[in-house]
Amino acid sequence: MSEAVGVANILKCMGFLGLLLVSSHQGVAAEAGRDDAQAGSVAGPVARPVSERGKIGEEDFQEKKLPTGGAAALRAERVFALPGSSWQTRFGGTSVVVLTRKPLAGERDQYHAICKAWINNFLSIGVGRDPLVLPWETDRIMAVFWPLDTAYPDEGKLGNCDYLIDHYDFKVGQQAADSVEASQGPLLVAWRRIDPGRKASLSLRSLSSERSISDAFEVWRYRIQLQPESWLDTLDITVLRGALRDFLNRNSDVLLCLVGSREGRQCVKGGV
Amino acid sequence: MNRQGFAVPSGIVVGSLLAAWIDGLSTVAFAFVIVLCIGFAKAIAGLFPASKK
Repeated sequence: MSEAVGVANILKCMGFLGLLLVSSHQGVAAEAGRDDAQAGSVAGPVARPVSERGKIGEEDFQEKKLPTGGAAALRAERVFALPGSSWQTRFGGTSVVVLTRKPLAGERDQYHAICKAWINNFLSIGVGRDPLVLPWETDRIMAVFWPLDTAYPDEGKLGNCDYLIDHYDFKVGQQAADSVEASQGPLLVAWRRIDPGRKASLSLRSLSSERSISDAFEVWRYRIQLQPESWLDTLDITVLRGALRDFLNRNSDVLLCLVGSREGRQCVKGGV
Repeated sequence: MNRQGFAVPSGIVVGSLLAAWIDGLSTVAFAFVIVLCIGFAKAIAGLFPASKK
């Protein structure tokens, strides 16, 4: 009798995991569909002269319909933040990719993945140099900034992540991290112009692979387009899954070695 | 089959489901998850000794 109860409990656990699996695949499918829909309109990080920007912007405006319904209140776009410009107050919402220090030896790949995710997940509205001529209502834009330490960046290299990391403005990054009382980056921070005291943040510290970081940016893009009342700083299951994936991929050889050594096997350094 | 006998296949099944949910695991990480789940299943089975008839 008790064996039957034990088997029933195992089956219940398996059923629960099966449901989790199905729901996660549905989520991935929904995100993939959204990506497909946007794939045709994703532009590279084009730096446009001020004189041309209005014209190009008007063309873009025909394609880029601002959100009119649903849960989205803002539209997330990516912009470069240049020193001396009023980038922090120009848009309805401001989000910053926060790096708090120059990359250490093992961190450059992570920074590179963050840069690529920023480029791939948001449409570009150019360089944030004053005056930025935009034909659409900037109040409806959540600008996701990559701060640069030079007011006149090499516009041919604005799609080059090595260049963007080398010229990242860590002073801005540290200020943004301080504003959400985060001691360590990398992370993402966002606030609305009408309520700058209320900030949302998402830590990317435990994520290292390109895929996990890109997934986290997807979650972030969805979150910051909503009304601030919907900004939840709770841990998202997609981010948690990415952190678990990266942890296991990074440490499983050591962990498996430790488990094996308990059974009398010899662990070889750097492998099982 | 006693409970310990159920532990290995159920650990493999649960471990495979968990690894599929996490998605993108390396071979070593996949093996570790399976081993972990088998160990976990054995530990649970050990908590409930079979009743003596």
